[in-house]
Amino acid sequence: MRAKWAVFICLGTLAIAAPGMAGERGPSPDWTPYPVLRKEVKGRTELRLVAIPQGFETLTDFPPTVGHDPTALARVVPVNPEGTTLRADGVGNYHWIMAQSSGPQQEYTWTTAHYFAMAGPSPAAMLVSPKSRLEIIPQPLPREFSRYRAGETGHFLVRFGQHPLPNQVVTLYAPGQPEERLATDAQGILRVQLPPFPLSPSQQTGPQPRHRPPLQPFQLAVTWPAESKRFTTVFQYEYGPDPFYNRNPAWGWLVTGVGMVGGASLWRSRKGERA
Amino acid sequence: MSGRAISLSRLRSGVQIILFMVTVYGGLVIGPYAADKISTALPALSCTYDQQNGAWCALRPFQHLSSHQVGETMARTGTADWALFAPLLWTLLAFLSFFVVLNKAFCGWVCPLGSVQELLYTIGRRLGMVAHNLPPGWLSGVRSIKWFLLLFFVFLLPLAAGLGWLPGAAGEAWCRVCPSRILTTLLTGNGEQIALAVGDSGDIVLGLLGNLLFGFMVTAAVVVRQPFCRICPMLAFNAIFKRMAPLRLTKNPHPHCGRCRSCHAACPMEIAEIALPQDKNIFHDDCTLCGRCVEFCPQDQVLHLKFGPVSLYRSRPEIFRARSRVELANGSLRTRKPSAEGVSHG
Repeated sequence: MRAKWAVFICLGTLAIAAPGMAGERGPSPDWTPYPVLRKEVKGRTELRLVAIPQGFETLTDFPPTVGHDPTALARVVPVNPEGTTLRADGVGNYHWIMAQSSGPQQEYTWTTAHYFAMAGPSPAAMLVSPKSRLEIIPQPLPREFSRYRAGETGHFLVRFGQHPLPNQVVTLYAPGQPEERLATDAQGILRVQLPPFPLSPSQQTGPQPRHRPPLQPFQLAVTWPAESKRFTTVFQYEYGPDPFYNRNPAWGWLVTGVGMVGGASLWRSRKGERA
Repeated sequence: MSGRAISLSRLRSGVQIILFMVTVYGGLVIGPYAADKISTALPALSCTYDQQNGAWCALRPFQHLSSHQVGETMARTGTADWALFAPLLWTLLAFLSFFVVLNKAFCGWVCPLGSVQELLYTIGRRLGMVAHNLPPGWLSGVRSIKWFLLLFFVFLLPLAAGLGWLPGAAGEAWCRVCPSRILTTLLTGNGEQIALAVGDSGDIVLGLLGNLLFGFMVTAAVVVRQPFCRICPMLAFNAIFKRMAPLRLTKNPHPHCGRCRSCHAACPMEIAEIALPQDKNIFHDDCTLCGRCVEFCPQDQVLHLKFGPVSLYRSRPEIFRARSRVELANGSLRTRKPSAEGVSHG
């Protein structure tokens, strides 16, 4: 009985402390009160997550599936203090990655998605199926060859126990930006305009290769009281500079116009030809 | 097939319109993630930069594999073995499994860029613009460009970028140049791709080439039949494996072959070999299986579109007469009084 209480108290303490745990391993971000797990991509088939706070003992990897319950295929990976590696195991496309700490008064869930650049089923069914009680679900996730970008609007479904949460306040956090409080609509859909991307002086003056633009994390966080508990869920993902980063529309249209003039030099009307 | 002649051109136009919607806007119907799935199975449809498409083009994975998989690993390890090239070969096999069935009909029936060029040419005919064929001396030179583009822009430049010898933009050299990137994104209301990339030297050089080529193609297509198709590396890709394809163009030579040359005039790719008295090289590297030559052959059962041994469509005098009432072989409309053949050289 004493041991049971000890576990109870430990879990409760961890859960309450979770939002402030980011500094316990890795750099402490000043832009969010929640843990920021850093992603290190290892080729097409491996993802290493580092700076995992102590409250999380395992990571759960939900691969995309067709015709199966994604939770039945989920793989639970023990957290390694030096960094936890997740592998695609032959199934590419988007995986949903989740870490949870649960206590008697609070349940804290950290989520993200990762695209393993190899063939795999559509993640549509995996995203729709319930993976935790309180969820922030991207609708849709950016496809391969795409990403969230500054100034563009992303859509997210916020739900609890599979029921959308209308008019629910969600907070957006991003580096260098003040936190922004947003609200879901009547269908539980959150529309988020990604904030400006803070370019470093060298990124502003270039030259910068466009094919690997800089990325930085953002977080959406929501809290919902239910069943005498406080549920908190954070969705962390990355976004890049605005679509016209290192692009010049005026020059693009001008050069296209030069090409068009070249093609139009072949034009002759029948009247002109007879003359 | 008796009674009213079936217009292959009308059937093809209908298929092109449907597949244009699928390839350019299909993601809106089948969901945002299905393109990944479809592209795994049918890897040769629309541009990857079009985020609303239903599936994407095979040339992008080829470049990425050459650059990220082969080139970067060779640069890192200093070795090259069979395992390194295996993914590239698997992608090639997936591509082939699709093309064994459809092969070059992709170009004439599916490709959205081809459909737009045909539309532009039709507009030019309706506006009474004088159509051009390539000057006779240019044809063989232009035909070889697609092979150069396939080898250098799809495989070698991405490989060199992966090895670190060229700027990173060369890792997808062909996509940066391909007019489909600009066209399909503009058609979905996205002006990002027509904006000139000004990141590094590779971005600028490839961006300039791409925008110039797109601009030239749009206006040239009004008076020249499918100008970009003639140099498209996808056509070259298809040509490599055309002998494996059950869908093909065949000919039973007729004593009159070579006299009217109507089939040659009808061919948007100007394949003169179709009109020769013998049946050699009828299914040419440049053939897009559009079937116009079959429609405009005045002889009975000389030209066939076949799937294996089965003749799907064959030339017949009544089809020729029906088509010729509407337009000339070169696409000019009958409603206007045409010049000699409606076509000028140069």
